[in-house]
Amino acid sequence: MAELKVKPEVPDPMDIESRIIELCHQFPHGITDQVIQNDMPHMEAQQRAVAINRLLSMGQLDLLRSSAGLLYRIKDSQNASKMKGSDNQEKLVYQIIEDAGNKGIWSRDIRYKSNLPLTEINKILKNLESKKLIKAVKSVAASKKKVYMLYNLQPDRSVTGGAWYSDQDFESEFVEVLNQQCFKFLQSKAEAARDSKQNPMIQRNSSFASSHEVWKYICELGISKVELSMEDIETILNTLIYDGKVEMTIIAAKEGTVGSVDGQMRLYRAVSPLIQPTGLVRTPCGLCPVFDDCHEGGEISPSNCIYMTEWLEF
Amino acid sequence: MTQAELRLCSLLLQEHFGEIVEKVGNSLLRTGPRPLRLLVGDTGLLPDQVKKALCVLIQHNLVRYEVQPRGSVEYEARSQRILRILRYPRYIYTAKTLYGDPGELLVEELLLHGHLPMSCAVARVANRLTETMEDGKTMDYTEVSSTFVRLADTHFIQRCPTVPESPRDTKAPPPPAPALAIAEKDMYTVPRLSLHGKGKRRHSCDEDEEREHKAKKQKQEGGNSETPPDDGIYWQVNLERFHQHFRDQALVSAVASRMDQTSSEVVRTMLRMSEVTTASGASHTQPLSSNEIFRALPAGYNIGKQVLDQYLALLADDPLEFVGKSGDSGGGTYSVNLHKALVSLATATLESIVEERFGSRCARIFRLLLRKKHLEQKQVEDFAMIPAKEAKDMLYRMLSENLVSLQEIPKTPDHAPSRTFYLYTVNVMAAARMLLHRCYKSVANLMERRQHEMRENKRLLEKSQRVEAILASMQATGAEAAQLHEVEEMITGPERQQLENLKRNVNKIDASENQVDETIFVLESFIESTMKR
Repeated sequence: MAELKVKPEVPDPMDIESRIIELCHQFPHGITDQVIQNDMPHMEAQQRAVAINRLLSMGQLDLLRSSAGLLYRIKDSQNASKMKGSDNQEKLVYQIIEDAGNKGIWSRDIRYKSNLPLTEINKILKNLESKKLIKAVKSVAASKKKVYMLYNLQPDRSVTGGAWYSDQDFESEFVEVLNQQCFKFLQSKAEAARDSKQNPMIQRNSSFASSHEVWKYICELGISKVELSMEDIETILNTLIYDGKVEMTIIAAKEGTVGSVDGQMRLYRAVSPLIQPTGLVRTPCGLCPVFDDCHEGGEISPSNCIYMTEWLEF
Repeated sequence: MTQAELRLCSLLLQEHFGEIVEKVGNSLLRTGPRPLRLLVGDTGLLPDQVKKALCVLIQHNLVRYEVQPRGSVEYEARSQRILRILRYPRYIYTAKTLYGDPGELLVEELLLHGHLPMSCAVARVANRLTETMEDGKTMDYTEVSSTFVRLADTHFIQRCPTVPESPRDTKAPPPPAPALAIAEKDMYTVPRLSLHGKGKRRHSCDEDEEREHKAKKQKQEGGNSETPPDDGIYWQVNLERFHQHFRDQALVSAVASRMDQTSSEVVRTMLRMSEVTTASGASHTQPLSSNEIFRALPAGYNIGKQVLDQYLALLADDPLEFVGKSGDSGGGTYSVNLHKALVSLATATLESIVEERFGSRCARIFRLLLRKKHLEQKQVEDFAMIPAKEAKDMLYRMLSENLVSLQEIPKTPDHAPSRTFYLYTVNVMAAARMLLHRCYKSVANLMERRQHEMRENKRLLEKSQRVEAILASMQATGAEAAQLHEVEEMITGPERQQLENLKRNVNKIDASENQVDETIFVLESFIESTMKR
């Protein structure tokens, strides 16, 4: 009798791949090896591996690692078309940059992560930039440093500096204008409270303004093109404190009252300076730039001081 | 004793007492305590002159003496006290605001003479006041002496230490220099004197008065031969008390500008109540209950008890922390925190100096550093919201003036600059001392400039004095208006203008010396109060 050899069906390699792709579409989060095996139990492990490798090299599958093992995920078709022309190294670099999210990554860090030499990295980066896949953003902290991130991502606040920076330039006039506006608001509030002539407690309490009130006022004024948050307003109010024009107290507020953060509320009040400009600065000597060189009998002396002569002629 | 202090002291001595006293004072200031012989040798003056100069200085409390164990007496100059001469106008003005003209003149006489017995002081002041009054009126002694008693009661003047009453032991030789002492309780007790009399004018044209005066003079001369009833009891001005008053004034005006008028009145009442009960160097006043404060408020302020309580609560809660609540008895006990107040005033002075010299942005950075103590350069830029380049420039300028200092915190044992943190900080005591030194030098500069201006115009001044003397004598002998006019014409128009200018300039420099002295006062009180803690 002739031995019946059951020839194992060699499934068509193309079938395997398309089957795997179908499975991937079914499970967009990714399929494990186990799932493929369950689906096609008659397939040998080797054939499976070959199919998967082919799909990976064609760029249609993504290989991810998860707690359950290796995951295969269908790659976005758009992305897949983009990467078609690139080789593996570029893909690696692109992956690293993508992982960095919206903080971006510095070229030296890319080098560490990918272990590629510097010249290669630079070529790849130029390539990717010309393909408009990544972009370089100048960091505001160190102006020579360039971080790379994906083209369509918004850079993070820490890189661009937030509301006070426009194109890496500190907007000091903007800050000044906000400064003055906040101060005027607080000043008018304090004056209104002073004129109300009620008992002192009420007077003082009504002269306070919470940071939320100031924020609302500034938003309504509409002098800012950029959306300002309450923290931004608080930094401006802090500069007013450092100018000595405003004082701050913190009170405990109920959670849920408007403007309270962690059960506290900051109140600000305009104040007038503690003393008049002091005596020393009313004389020429107090402001003299050559004070240390001045002594009797020298080139610069009190007897022939030109600053004093001018001052006496007022 | 810094160079600037030395220079200022010698200028003051020269202006008020003359060359010889200046030489002696200078020598003492530079070399410290020394006995008479060495002093004579140093200054190269005659021993008699040196003795007289020392007498003058001791009379004015500018020099003190000590008996050394070896038997010699050493003299030491008190530089702090010499610098107070600058403040005499302020003392006199304060006495005027508090006690009127008699008070002003009493304090002036005491300051100019150093030590004076009461009868002498009262007589002099009465005479001076009488001169300024209209013809026919004289100043009574009783008014002046009552002002004197009031000054003593509020501790503005005090008795000088006297030789203690010791049983005279004729066998033991008297000590080379008496050790003066006075009991605390006696310092302000006014001796019971019955001073009667009226002030006299120096010269008067009225013939009747002259005769009257002649008669009085004879009587008075008879009276003068006997010693005045309070011989040996000398009075001097209590500078510490005046300083307390200035400090209170500064406090009250700060509260008035930061809060409102009524709060400042409350603080003034509190300070007035603790005037005599608080020691001069204390950092807090005695606690006062709100009931007491309510009772002691000046009559014009009719605010209710609850309103007063609210004001006190507001003062205690204020970030300034001038007033602190120390208990709840008697409706709440409150005390004024004097040390904190001085610190606030001194930092406000420092800030104002920085603001005027470098600009308001620099002042912002300065205040930021005062609050946050230590900051890196990057943090300074972030908090102050000043562009990096400008912030850097300002910090370096202030660093070069030593108002701001750097603190290095190394990350590695070799202090490599790239691996070290550099923190900016403000050392308030050091900055205060440096600015105080600058104040002294400024005042010395102003005084020199004033003397220079007077010297430049000496010829003109002499001429104007001569003309005035001629005018006065001509008026006395009854000259005609035309002749007077001729004499006046001797000073030409431009010269008159020059004289006007000179007068104006000298006044301006004088006023600014007083203003710088105010700064000196604040800074010195701050340094003293911090050193005491």
